Amino acid sequence: MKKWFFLPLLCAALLCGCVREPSAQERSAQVFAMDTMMDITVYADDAAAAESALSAAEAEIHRLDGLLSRHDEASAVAAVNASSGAPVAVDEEVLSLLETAVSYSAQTGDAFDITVAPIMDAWNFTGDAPRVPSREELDALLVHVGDERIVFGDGTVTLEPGMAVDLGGIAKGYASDRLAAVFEEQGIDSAMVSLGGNVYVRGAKPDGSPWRVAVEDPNDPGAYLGVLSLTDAYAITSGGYQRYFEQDGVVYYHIIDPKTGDVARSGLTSATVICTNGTMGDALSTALFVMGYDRAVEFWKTYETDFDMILMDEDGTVYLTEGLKDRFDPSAAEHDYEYVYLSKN
Amino acid sequence: MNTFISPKTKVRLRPSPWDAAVIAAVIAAAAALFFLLLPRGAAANALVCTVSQNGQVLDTVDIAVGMADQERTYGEYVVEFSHGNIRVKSAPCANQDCVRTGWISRGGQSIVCLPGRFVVELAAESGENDDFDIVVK
Repeated sequence: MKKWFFLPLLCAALLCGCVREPSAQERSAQVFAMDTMMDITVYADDAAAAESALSAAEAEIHRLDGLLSRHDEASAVAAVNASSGAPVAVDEEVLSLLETAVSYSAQTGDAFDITVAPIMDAWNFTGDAPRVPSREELDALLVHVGDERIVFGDGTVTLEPGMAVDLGGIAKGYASDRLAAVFEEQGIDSAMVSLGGNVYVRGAKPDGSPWRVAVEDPNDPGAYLGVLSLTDAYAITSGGYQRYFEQDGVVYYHIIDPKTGDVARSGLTSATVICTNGTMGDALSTALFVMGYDRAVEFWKTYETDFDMILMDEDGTVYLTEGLKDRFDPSAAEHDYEYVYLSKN
Repeated sequence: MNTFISPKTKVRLRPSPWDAAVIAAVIAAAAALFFLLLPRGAAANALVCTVSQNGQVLDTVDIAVGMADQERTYGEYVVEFSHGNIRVKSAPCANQDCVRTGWISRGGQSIVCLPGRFVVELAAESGENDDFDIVVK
């Protein structure tokens, strides 16, 4: 009988192996920066490595916030905005990011433009008292919009008087790229980051499975359009449902069409980009939202870099690019939407 | 000392009641351990509300079925709990974004007051949401 005694123990040991959680050490932090809340979770083989990576990530976010916030008088971007026609010396990193932003503006037919700062100030979306500017006021400010007029010199940037840049449409995406570099330096293979809803997932989950990234339903925040299975990817949404105000029964949200200075009412309720570059994803999600369905699809078909996207229109149709067919599960959706896959052919 | 089995020794091949009892015990023990070691299945769907400010947890509230409606005060913030729904009822911030967010009731939802760095979050009691790891929004 003695040999039978070990059988239950053997079975138990095998079953323990089936259900035991991975041994990776998890560390998380909540960071308030760039006018939003950020959540960072890293996994490492030992606690010290996870904590070191987390500290480095937090430090990098605060460094970028100090560099890129135009509302911080000590920032490099605030210095650029004080240019008023005179060249301003800026460090290589900021110069490069500004040039990158201008290139996205050109590529998207000005659907994305960092010189909308004077227009954003008129709307005061981030302030205590947002307001609806008059058409005359917007027209007067639009003469200062157009990032093709930014003059780049040898380590300098010059803005015309009245012009100002706002990197709010690209800074969080750039920050997620920088966090990827920090994790690389720190030897972190598994992490997930939400920078105010901009998601970056590094590697796979500690158990080897893909990260499950829910896409929020713009018509019912807290519900989801579905769940993406992603590894080493950025997922970034632009939508009017996160930051807005109401006046006289009309909803005004914070995404501005640089051509009109008015709220971008393109027929889309959200545009999500899934790609391998956070800066690009941030800029393109805004641009696609401003473009609307037809222009966005044409852009996706012809853009030099491959990316995937999810567009939702005001009629409740969800459009997904063909690359998401095996990576998107709509079963988590609580509402009865129509899902349509887009093909480049 | 060597031992051997005589060719004439009969080997019993038919299972006895003892064999059946041992097999039943193995299955029962394995099944019991399997369920004991599983992540809490039923409880995984239960929600817990975490209230924090400046990254410091001020309160955790189990959102149980039948929980009495109530208001809880955290400094100048008042959070209301009603039939499993939670909202920031009043806040000292100028923009009142957190108050305008309204009610939340699902795991993964949160209310954030950026000026006050005050956060109300709902999550599965197990610490993980069943269907996803993170939300793009």
